[in-house]
Amino acid sequence: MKYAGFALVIALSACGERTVSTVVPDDTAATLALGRAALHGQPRDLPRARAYFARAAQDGSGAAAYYLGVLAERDPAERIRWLTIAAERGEPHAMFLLGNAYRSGAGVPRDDARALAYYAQAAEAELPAALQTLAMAYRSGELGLAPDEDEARRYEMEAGHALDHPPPEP
Amino acid sequence: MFLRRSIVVAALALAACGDNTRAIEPATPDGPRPPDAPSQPDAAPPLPAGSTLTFGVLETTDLHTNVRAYDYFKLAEDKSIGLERTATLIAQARAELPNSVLVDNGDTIQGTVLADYQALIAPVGCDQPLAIYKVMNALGYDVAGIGNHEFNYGLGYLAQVTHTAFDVTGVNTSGAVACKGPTFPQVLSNVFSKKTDQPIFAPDAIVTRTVRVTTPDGQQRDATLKVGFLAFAPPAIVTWDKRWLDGVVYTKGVQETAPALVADLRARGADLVIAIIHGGLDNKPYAPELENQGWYLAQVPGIDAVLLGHSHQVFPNAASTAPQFNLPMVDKALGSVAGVPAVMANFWGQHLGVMAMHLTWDGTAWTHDPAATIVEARPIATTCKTGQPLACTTGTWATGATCPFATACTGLADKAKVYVDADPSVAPLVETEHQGTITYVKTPIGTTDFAMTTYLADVGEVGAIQIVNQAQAAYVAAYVQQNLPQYAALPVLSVSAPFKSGFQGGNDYTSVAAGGVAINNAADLYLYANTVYAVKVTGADLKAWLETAALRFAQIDPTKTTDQPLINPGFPGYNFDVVTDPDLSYEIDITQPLPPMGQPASGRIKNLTWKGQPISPTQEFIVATNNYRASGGGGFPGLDGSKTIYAAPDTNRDVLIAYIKAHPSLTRAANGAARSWHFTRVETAGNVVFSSAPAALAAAQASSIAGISQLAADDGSGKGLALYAIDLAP
Repeated sequence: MKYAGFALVIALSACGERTVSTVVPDDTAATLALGRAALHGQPRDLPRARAYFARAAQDGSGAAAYYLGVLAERDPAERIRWLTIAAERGEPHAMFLLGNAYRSGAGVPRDDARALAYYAQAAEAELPAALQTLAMAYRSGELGLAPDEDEARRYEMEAGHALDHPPPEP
Repeated sequence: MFLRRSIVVAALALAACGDNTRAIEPATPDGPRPPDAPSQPDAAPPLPAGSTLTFGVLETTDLHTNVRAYDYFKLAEDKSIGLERTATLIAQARAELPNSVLVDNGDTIQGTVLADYQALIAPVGCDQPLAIYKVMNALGYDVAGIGNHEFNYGLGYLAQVTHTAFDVTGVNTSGAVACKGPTFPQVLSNVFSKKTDQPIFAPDAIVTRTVRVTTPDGQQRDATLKVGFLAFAPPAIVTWDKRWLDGVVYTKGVQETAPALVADLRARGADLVIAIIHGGLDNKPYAPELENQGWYLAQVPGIDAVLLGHSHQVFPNAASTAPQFNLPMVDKALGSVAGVPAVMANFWGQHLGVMAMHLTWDGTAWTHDPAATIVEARPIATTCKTGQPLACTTGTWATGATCPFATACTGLADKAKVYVDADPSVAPLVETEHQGTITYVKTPIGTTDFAMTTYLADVGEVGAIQIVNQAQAAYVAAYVQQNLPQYAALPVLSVSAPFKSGFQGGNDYTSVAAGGVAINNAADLYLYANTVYAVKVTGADLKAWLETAALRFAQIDPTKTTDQPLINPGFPGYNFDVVTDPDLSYEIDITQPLPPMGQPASGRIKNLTWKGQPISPTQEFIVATNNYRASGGGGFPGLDGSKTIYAAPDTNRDVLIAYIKAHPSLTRAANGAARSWHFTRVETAGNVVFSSAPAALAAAQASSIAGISQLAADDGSGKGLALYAIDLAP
C-alpha cells in the first residue's frame, strides 16, 4: 500500500498538471505508475518502462497496452496489436490512434470506415481530439463523409465542452 | 448531532439567500407563474388514499452562461444553443405538467465571454444578479445545484453572485448576503469549509409546492408536496481550482454524505427526495474522489430521482454507445440507474430534461412507482428526415404531449434543421449585459501595423501564425521555468498551422486588418477549442514532425513545362505545422517525392538548424502545441500522447488573448517576419501554381514574399479564388 502510494506520487509529479483520476490503489496501478515514471524520467529508462507496462498489460491494463503500442514505434504490426488490445480494453487514446492508422494505412490497410468507427468510439468517450477530428471531417467532407456544417458545429461544441472533462491520460 | 447541526446550517444558509422573496418552507413562487393556492390549514379534509399526482422534474445543466443564442467570438447568432430557447421548452413542459419543479445542475456562471465580462471586465455589482441568474429568476427556477465551474472565479465572486456567506479562511464574504442573486435556493452537499467543517452552501433543501391532485372520485383538489434536494459537485474541484480552494475547502463523496442528508430530508417531511449531481455515471470501484458518482448516488436508498450533468451527454438515449450509459443497472432507453429515474440534459441549453413521475397517496405517504416514470431529454432543435422531425417522429414527446416540431419539417428537405422559437421574454432581461459583452469583444486589445492573414501561409507568410507561436511559447516557457525545473535548460519552440487556408473558398482565410486587434480577431487567429499542450521531443522527432507537415506540398518536377499544383490536395492546411522562430531554420524541398501510402514522410526537410547549428537527432526540445496535435491529431509520427510534459488548463485562444493584451503593439518586424522555413530553390521549366484569395497578391507585396504572380483572377473553381504562381528559382 505504501509502495503503491509512493509510485502514485511519482506518477502524479511526472504527469505535471494532469490529475490521475483513476486512483485505484492496487498492484496494477502501481506497476503502471512505475512504467510512466520510467518513461518520463530524466533520463528516460525505456527498457524498464517496457517491462513495467508489459507486466501491467498482462494484468489487464488498457493504459499499459496503449503504452506498449506507442513504444513499438518501429514495429508497425506490434504497434497495431497492442493498440487494438488497448482499444478493446476501453482506452480512448488507443482508439484514436487506431483511427489515425486506418486513415493513413500505417500498419494496416487503409480503411476510412474503420477509421471513422474508431474515431466515433473515442468521441463517445469524450476524447477532445476525436471530437475535433469528426468536426473537421464533417466540415470539409473527409473520411468519406458528406460535408455537414450542422454536424461539424455539433462536434465542435462537444470538443470544446469535452476539454473540461476529457478521459484521463493513460 | 450532525443532523441537527445540518438543519441549523441549512436554515441559516437559506435565510442568507438575500432578496429571496420566495421562502422555502412553505414555498411561494416568484416570477411569471400563476400563484399557488395557499397551503391547506390543518382543518382541511385528509387526502383520500388512492389520490394520484403526476409530478414533473425539469432539468437544465451546464448552461455555461449561454443565455442568448449567440456566439460571442463569431459575433453571430447561433440558434443551436441558449437558454432563451430552452425557456420555450420549459414553458411547454409546465403547461403539460403544471405540477413540476425546475432544477438547474450547475456549471452556470462560467463559460462564454459574457461570463468573463461580468466576472472580470465589467464586474457585476452587488446590486445586480448575474445575467443568467436574472433569467433564471424570471423563469422561476425552484432550486439549483453547484457545478465545478462555479468555483473558477474564486470564492469571493461566488459568494457575491450567489449571495451566500462562506465561513472560510482568507476570504471575507460577509457583504455577500446583501447582494442580489438567485431567488431560488442553491444546494451543495459535499463541499466543506476547512475552518468550520460545515458545508459552504445549504447541504440540502426542501421545496414545498401546492399541487393539484386527482382524488379517486375523479375530482381535483390541492395538496402539499415537499420535495427534498441534495446536490453534489465533482470532488476534484479542490485540484481543478486549487488556487482558490486549496487549504480552504475540502470535498467528500456521495457515499459519505448522501445517506445522512436523505435521512434529514425525510425527517423534515420530504415526500420525494431528488438528488442533483454535477457528474455522470462510472462504475469504477468507488472512491470519495471519483469524478462521476451518479451510478453510486442512484444506489443510495431513499432517492427517488437523480439529475445528472457535467459530461456532455444526453440521457436517456436508446441508441447511445457511450460507455457510461452501457454500464450494468443503467437503462439507457427508459432513463434509469439502479431502477431510479435519471436524466442528463446535455449542455449550453440544447436540451431540457423532463421526468414525469406518477405518485400515489397511500393514506400516509406519497409512493412513487419508478416503472411508471417517463424520462426524456427534449432538444431545442432537430433535423428533418422524410418530412419528419427526428426528435419526435410521432409528433409527440414520450409523455404523449405534442412536440413543438410536429409539423415543422413538412415540405423540408432531409437534413434541414428546425428550432423552437426563442422565448421573447429572455432577451430584454439581459440586453445591457449582452451588448456590453459584444462591445467588449469588439474593443481592441491591441493594434497591429500589418494585416495578419493566411492567404500565403502555404508559401511562407507567417503573419497570422507567428503571434500564436509567440503566445504559446511564452506561456509554456513560463510554466516550465516555474514548475518543471528538470526541463528548464531546454529550448522552447512552438508550432502552429494556418487553420483556414481557402479550402471552402476565397473567404475561408484568417484575415485581421491592420489597426485594432479585438477579441473576435483573436478568435479568427485561433479558431479551434484547444488547450495548450507542451511535448518534449528529440531533434529526430522534430524533423519527422516537419517532414509530415511538408506533405502539404505536391512533388514538383523541375523539367515539366506545364503548370504543376503546389499543394497536395490530400493534406489539409490545418495540419501544415510551422515553426516561426528566428533561431530555427529549415528548407522544404518539394522536388522530393511523397511517401508511399502508410509510410512516414522523409527526404524533404533540409538544413534544419538551431541557432545556426545542425540539429542532432538526440538533441531535446520542448514544443508548445495543442491537445489535438499532442494526442495524435493529424497522425504526426511520435505524437501519440506519450510525449506530453504539460497539459495546460488554458485554451490556446485565451493564451493568445492574454499575450496580445500583454504585448499590445504588434508589428510585422516583431510579430510577423520570423520565417523559419523556405522552399529549397529550384529552377522550374513550367509554373508552380496555387489558388488563394484575390487579395493575396497585395499581401505578397506587403510581406515581402517574393516570386508571387497572379496568373488568373479566377481559378475557375467557382469558390472566389484567384490563381497564382510561385517562382522557386534561385
